[in-house]
Amino acid sequence: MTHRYRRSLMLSASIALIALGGCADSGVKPEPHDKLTRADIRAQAADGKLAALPPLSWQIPLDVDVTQGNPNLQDLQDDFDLLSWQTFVAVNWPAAADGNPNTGTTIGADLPTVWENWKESREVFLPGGAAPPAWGTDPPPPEVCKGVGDGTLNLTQVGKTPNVLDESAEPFETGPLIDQNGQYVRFAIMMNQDMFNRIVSDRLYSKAGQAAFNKPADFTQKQTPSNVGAIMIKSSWKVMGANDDRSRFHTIKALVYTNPGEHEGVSASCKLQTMGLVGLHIVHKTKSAPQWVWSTFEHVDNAPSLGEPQSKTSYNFFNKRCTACLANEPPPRPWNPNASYTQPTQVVREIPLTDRTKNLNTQYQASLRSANANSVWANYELISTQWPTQAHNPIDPSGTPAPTFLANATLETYIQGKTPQGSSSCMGCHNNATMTNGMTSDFTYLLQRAQ
Amino acid sequence: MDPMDTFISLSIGLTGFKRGALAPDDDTHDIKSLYLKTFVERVTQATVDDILLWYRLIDKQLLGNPPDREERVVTLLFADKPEYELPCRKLLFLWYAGAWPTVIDTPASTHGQTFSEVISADSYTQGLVWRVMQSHPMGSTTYNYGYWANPPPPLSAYLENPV
Repeated sequence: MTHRYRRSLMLSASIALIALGGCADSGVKPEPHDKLTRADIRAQAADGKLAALPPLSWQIPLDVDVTQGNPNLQDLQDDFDLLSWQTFVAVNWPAAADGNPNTGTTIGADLPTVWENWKESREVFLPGGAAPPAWGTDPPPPEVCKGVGDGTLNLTQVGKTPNVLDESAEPFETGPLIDQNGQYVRFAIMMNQDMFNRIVSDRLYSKAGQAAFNKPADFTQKQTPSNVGAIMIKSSWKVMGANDDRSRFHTIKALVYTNPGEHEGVSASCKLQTMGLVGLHIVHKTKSAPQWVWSTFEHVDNAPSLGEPQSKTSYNFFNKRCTACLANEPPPRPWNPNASYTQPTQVVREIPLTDRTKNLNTQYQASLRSANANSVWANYELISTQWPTQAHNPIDPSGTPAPTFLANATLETYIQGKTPQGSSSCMGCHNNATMTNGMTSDFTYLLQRAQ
Repeated sequence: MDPMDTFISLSIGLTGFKRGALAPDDDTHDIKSLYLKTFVERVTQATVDDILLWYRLIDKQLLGNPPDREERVVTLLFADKPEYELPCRKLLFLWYAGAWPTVIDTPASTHGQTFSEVISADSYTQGLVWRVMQSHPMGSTTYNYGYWANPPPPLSAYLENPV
């Protein structure tokens, strides 16, 4: 057992005590399952006893819970994967009117989620470096969206935002992702209140504020059940077409804004559209993971994995009949999200899910269905969780991530694989993120959006 | 000791690096498995089995538990079995350079040349030579942007920690 995980164990015990205190304060009684250790849960889950999973909860876990005496790499990966699923359930919990989780219901019905009430990057990094409006106050949508209708989210991005990645010398080829209906996938990056508060208090929302801050950004903060620490969420959405089964997706009505600044020759436009969630990164800065914990989920119908049977009737991003289609190739330029149809991207997942992650997915999907037989959330799967194996190694600030490579097929479509420095690694890539003044930005490229 | 344990002990004795650096607890790269496989493929299974067997025999004969145990065993191994020295030197080269060497001996005063073949992209980045240099391979670094403005950590941090 490493010293780090002995410390983690002590941390977990402390968190458990804090969490219980929080439950007592809020009048929520501990569930019987709360008495199970993670080792118990895993052992029972392996036996196919679904009830052995932690209860579906709106409470975002503060950190990984490692209970094994001498965990190996796979044990720890399992612990982080469990953390990912617990976090996925909590952030996708139905939101009450104030944006907080509706604790009087359970996850299942296709309702607006907690994280969809968080701040979108466009709302924080405003023109001229203006201070963002307070939490819970939204700035108006882009001018071109006025009169189009009311969406629950403004989806403005059509790719890894080029100006951000250009400034960090992003060497990878990226491009828009086109679904089987020929429509551009849209993306959004959201942050929770703890992260937003830190950006505001350190005045990191503007170039001038970052210059005055004049030191590396640091989102480390004390975690409590009510302040879970900084979380970012990047989501990907496809337009729901006539042939798409909407009952299989978490959907939203969104103002889909095409930013003329993203691609040359593209004009601004805005449509109110029904969008289906196809990908989700959840990134949480925890005490044991100063490099953040990187959890990535996808819709189960997205794409087949390399070397595995194409078991689905149809895929969101793969055409089984197209034998001539080149996999994971971006569409030819010029890229124009206003086009009525673009040749779909043929997507293949280059690194298949591990059997252990698949097993956990099956367990969680069953648990979600047992809570609600029609749960849309049972149609999502964890791809994997990247976490630091050497969080405090003096010669590796990236934390020596496990797994070494991790890609979401909808968010890093074109940089999948296992080529060092060439394939997607959440921590490896974001380790290079800086603010507009060139100082490190604590693994987020968001701060480069400051004006 | 299983073959991998013996292989790591032998490698510690050859390279001077600690076990945590060559075979960390949470081994995300698992370069040791690639190197053992390469050692077997390039030297032959029978020779590798012999080397590891002799290493274990000598290790058992060593009295006490000196801090440089592996290094002492390697010295005794080469004294007893000098024919193992060249393959072990090649293994040493593999750990440091991430490449397998082929030595072409000639009558020239330089005694020929050594050609090397990088085993994989991972072996290139995991070469111990970068850490002895307190540096990183060209085109690959775990440091964040702007690291070059700061002095590197002490050499001990490079030698004792896995990457």
